[in-house]
Amino acid sequence: MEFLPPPAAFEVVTELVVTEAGLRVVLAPDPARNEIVAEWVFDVGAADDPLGRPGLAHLAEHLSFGEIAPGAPDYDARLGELGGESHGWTDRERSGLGATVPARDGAFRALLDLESKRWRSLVIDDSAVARQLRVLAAEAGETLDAAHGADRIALDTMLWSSTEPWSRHPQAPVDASWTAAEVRDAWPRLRDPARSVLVLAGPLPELARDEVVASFGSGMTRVAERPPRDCEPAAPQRAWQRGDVGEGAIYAAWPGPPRAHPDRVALEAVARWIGGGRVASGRDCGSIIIERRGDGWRLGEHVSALRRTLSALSLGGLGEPELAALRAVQLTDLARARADLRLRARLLAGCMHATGGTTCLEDEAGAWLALDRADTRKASARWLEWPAVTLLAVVPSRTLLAPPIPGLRLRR
Amino acid sequence: MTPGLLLAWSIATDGLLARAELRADVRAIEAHPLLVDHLVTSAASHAAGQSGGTGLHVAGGCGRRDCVVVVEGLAAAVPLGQAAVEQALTSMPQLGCRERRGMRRAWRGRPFTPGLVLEAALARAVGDPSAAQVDRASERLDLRAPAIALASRRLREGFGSDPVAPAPPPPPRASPTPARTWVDWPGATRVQVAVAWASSGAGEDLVRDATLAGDFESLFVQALREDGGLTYDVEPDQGEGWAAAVFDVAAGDLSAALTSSALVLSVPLDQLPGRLAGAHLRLLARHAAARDSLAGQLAPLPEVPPSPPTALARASVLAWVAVGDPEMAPGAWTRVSRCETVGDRACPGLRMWARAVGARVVASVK
Repeated sequence: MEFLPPPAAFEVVTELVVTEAGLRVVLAPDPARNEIVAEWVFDVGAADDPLGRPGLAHLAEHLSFGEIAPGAPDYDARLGELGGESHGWTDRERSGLGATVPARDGAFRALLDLESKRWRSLVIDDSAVARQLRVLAAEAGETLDAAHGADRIALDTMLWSSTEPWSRHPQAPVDASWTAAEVRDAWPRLRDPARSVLVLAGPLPELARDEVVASFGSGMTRVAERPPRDCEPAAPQRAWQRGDVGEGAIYAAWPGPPRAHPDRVALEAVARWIGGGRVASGRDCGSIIIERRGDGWRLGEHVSALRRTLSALSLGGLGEPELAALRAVQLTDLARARADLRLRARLLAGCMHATGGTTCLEDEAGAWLALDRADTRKASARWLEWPAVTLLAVVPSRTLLAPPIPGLRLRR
Repeated sequence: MTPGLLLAWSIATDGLLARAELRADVRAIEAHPLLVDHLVTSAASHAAGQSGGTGLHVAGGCGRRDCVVVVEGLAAAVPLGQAAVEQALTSMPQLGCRERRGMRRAWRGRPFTPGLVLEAALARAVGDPSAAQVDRASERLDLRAPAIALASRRLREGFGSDPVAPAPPPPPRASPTPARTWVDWPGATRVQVAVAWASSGAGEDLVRDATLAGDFESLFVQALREDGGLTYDVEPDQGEGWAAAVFDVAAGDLSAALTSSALVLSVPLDQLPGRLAGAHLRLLARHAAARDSLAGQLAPLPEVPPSPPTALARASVLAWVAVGDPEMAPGAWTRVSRCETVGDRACPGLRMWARAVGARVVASVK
C-alpha cells in the first residue's frame, strides 16, 4: 500500500558491547525520553525445561527478583527507591526481566549497578524456592479462573502428556518438587551470559559504554555451551477427548523452522492468516500452533476448513489483499516501538537472539515489505503439510459429535 | 461524511504514528456506554473492511468525566479510520444497542470479575456521585431512545466542541468507622475486596503509588503474604475524592486481605521514605511521559503534587467493600445483593457472570 513507510523509517541507533563473559549489552540512546529502560532477554524458555518437569524457566524468572544477599533488600525494594518499576515474563522460547526508572541525574549509574550486581550473590534457598512455587501455584489458579481457563488447563495437561517437544507449554502446571539445590545447579544454564541480552535504552550518558564495561567485567560466569536439544518431532497424532470443559477447543500444530530461518516471516504471515496462530521457533527447531474454539460440529468445521486452507495455501499462497493487511498490522506494531521505549528494548533483544544483528526494526520492516505471494506459497508448501499436522481437541462431555470430527480419534 | 455533521477531531502525530480523538462530556450523552461501545464496534469493522486492513486501532470508552473515541495507527492510514468512525456515527440512530459492557478498566481480561457491581458498591460507600450514574446505565431499555436522540443532537451540534465543565469533586468523607459493605454473589469462588481512602488527587495518588507499586512486591502484597495469603493480585482504583486498592483473592485469603489492607493503611508513610520518594519520582516520570505521548498531547493532564504527603492515617480509610459468596461473609458487614447494588432491575449479564465464576446459574437473588 502506498501509505506504508520505507524500511529506513524504522531505523534505531544502537551500539553493541560484548563483555568478556559473552553477555551482549545493547545501548539504544534516545535523549528525548524521560525514562531509562533495562530489558533482559534470556534465550531460555519453557521449551528448555526438562521433559516431565515443567516450570523451571518460569521459576527462575520469579527468583530473579529475590534478595541479592542474605538479609539484604530484594531487587524490587531497591528498584522502588529509584522510582522504578519492574516486570518479568516467560514464554515458550524465551524469558525476560525488565525495569524502568525515571531519567534523573545518576539514574543510569544506579540502574546499571543494580543490574550488574543482580546475579553475583542472588539468594536461592529452600525458603525462596518454596515461596515462589506457591506464587506460581496461585498464578495457575488465576489461569483456571480466566475465560476458558479450565479448558486450557485440560489441553495443556494433554499436550504435556504427549511426547512432542512443543508440548513444553509455558502454562503447563509447574512441577512442585523443584528444590533449591536443583535450581542452583541449573542456574548457570538459565542465566548463561552467552544466551543473555541486556538492552539499555533512553537518555544514556556519554560514557555509557565505559560504565557498562566496568560494571559487567565479571558480572556473570560464562559456562560451556549446552549440547543441541533433540527436536526431532514425534509422529503426528490426532486425538480428541471429552472433558469437563465449558467449550471445546482444538490445537493444530506443525513442525516449524528454527529461529532466523528465511521462511520465518512468510510463515508468520501464513500462521496469522490461518487463525491467529504463531510460529514458535527454537534455536534448533520450532513449531506452528493455532487454536480454535467451538462446540461439536463447529470444531469439525474448523478441521475441514483447515484442510482446505492448507491445500489452497500450498498451491497459491496468500492473496495480495491478505498480505497487505498483515503487512500494515506488522509495520504499525514496529512503528509503535519507536514511541514505546520498553517495547523497543524488547524487540532489540529479540533481534539479537534471532539474528545477532542490532538492526532489528529495519530488517524486519524490510522483510515484511518485500514479502510477496510466492514467498508464502513456497513456505506453505515446505512447512504446512497436512499429514504432519498434529490435532488435539477437547470437547465438553455432553457434546455429541455427529458426525465426528474428521480425522480425529477418541483418546481413551 | 454526512453534510451538516461537524466533528471536532483532535489529532496528534509522532513520526510514523498518529492519533485522532473525538471527545465529549459524559453528561452530553447520557447512555454513553451503549453508544460509544456500539460506535467503536461498528467503526472498527468498517475500517478493516474499507481499507483491507491497515493496522488501525479503533477504541473508545467513557470515564467518569468524558467519553472518547480514538483512532491510532500509521499516520497515513488514520484518515481512513476517521472516515470509518464518521460513517458509523451517521448510521448510529438506526442501529440497535448491544448489552452494556463494563466501562471500567479491563480487569486484565478476566470476565469473572463483577466489576460493575464492585464499582457501584464502592462508589456508593464513599459517596461518589458516579454511583447514581451506574444505576441509570443499567436501565438501558428506558434510556435507549432518548439517549440516541440526545447524542444525535449533540453530534449535529459538534461532538465534543462544546464541553461542559466538570463539577468539582466532593470533599472526602472519612469517618471514624469506615463503612463495610458485603455484596452477595452466590456461588463465587473468589472474593474481591476493595479498601478506599480519601484522595484529593485528580487521577494521581501518591499513597496508591507507594503502596501498590512493585507488583507482587508491593506493600499490600507483602503484608498479604506475611499474613498467610498467597494471592498477590492487588490493583488500584480511583474515583472522585477517593482512591482504592482492590484485592482479588481466593476465598481462603479473605481474612489475610482484610488484615493486610488495614495494616498497610495504618503505617505512616513518612516511616517509609524510600518508597515515598520512589513513588514521587515515578509519578513525575509518568506525568512527563504522558505529556510527551500522543494521547497526552490531546488530553488535559492532572497536576502533579509539588511534594509528597507525609503520612496516611487509618482514619483516612473511607470504606471496605467486598463481593463474594454469602457464606464467606464476615459477621459485622452490611449485606446487600448485587441486584440492589446496580439498580432495581434484573441483574445485567447474570447468567454470563454466573457461568464465568463457575457458579450455579441462579434465576435471581432478590
